[in-house]
Amino acid sequence: MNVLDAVLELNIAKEFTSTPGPRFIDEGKFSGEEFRQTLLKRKFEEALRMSVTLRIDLDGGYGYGPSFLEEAFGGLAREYGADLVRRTLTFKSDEEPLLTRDIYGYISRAAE
Amino acid sequence: MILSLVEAPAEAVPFFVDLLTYKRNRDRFVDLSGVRRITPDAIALLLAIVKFLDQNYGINVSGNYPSDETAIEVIRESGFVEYLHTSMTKPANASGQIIRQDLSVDSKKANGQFAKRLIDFASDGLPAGKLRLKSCYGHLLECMGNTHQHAGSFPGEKTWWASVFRDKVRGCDCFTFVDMGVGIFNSVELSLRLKMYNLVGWLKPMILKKLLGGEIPSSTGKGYRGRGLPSILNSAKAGGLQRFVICTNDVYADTLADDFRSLPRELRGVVLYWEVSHECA
Repeated sequence: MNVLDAVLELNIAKEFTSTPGPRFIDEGKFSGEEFRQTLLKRKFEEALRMSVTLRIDLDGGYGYGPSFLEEAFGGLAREYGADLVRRTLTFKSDEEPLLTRDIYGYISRAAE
Repeated sequence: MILSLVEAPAEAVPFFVDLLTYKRNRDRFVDLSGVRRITPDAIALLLAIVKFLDQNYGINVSGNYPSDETAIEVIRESGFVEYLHTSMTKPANASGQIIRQDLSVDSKKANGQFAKRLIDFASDGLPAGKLRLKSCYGHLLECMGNTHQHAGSFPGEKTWWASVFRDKVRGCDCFTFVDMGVGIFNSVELSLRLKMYNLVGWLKPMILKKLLGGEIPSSTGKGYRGRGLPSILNSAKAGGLQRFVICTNDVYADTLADDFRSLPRELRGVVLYWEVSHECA
């Protein structure tokens, strides 16, 4: 198997919630922090172990606040470094195409 | 009068400030007989204030309806009557829905289920359905998070109301978010910095403009925080919203028209209003 072609999938609406919440756990349910801690990190580390890409599917839910996305993906970059996160993650967002650009911005600016 | 924060803020803000100037246990009467036009933002704020006075100070608020038939119909269609004891009946297929923080579900927190209710209501029966309103869902979550974090002296102290009104005549959905807190300029974070901004000659309308433009750093000192309101403005500028208005304390901003100005009276809290075209996909 070609490593570059191998992909792990994470569909947020199916595996976490279709109604994402705020930034932090203490602000409300299904927060970006909860998503990162309970699901994203585990999948991310699994992708690292397998040397494959982790494709995040953002479609199918009601939408996302920027705080949720920043805390999830920016938070991941603060923990693992922006370069590694950028190299490991790809995104699918047919319903809101600009989200992908926003998320890469959060990853790049995560350490500010 | 025109009772509308969006269309006539200088007229509407004093009306609401007077209503909020209460005396404990003294009942109030809201005279709407002179109102010839009322908009959904004003209806949501009126309801929020009436309930605030009742629940926090035991003040019973009664009132009459406008004499203008169209204004009465907007009130009837808005969802206003669901929360009040009134002889006015709710239409079977109302154009509007108003929600409040349901403390029995999730105490004073941001909750996607609340935003979902408005999005489901607004998207029902329209071709683009929920896809058209995905960014609005995010805006509502950001507003709820701001109320939770910044509206009071501690997280979760203040509550919010939100509404959507399907304006079939103008072909758009009108969203209103009412933050019943202290307002942006009285928030703990910004009030501490106001003197500094005044020293460099920034007046409040300019400060709000810079805040929305992401030019005022978050009080957390973390550059990646404080992106909620700027993200709504960015969405508006990118064509996702056809109007985005903020009224907080004594400042009004019709952002896409670049109209930032001071108001004659100071309204507590924050009212955010935006419109999404039914054609927007």
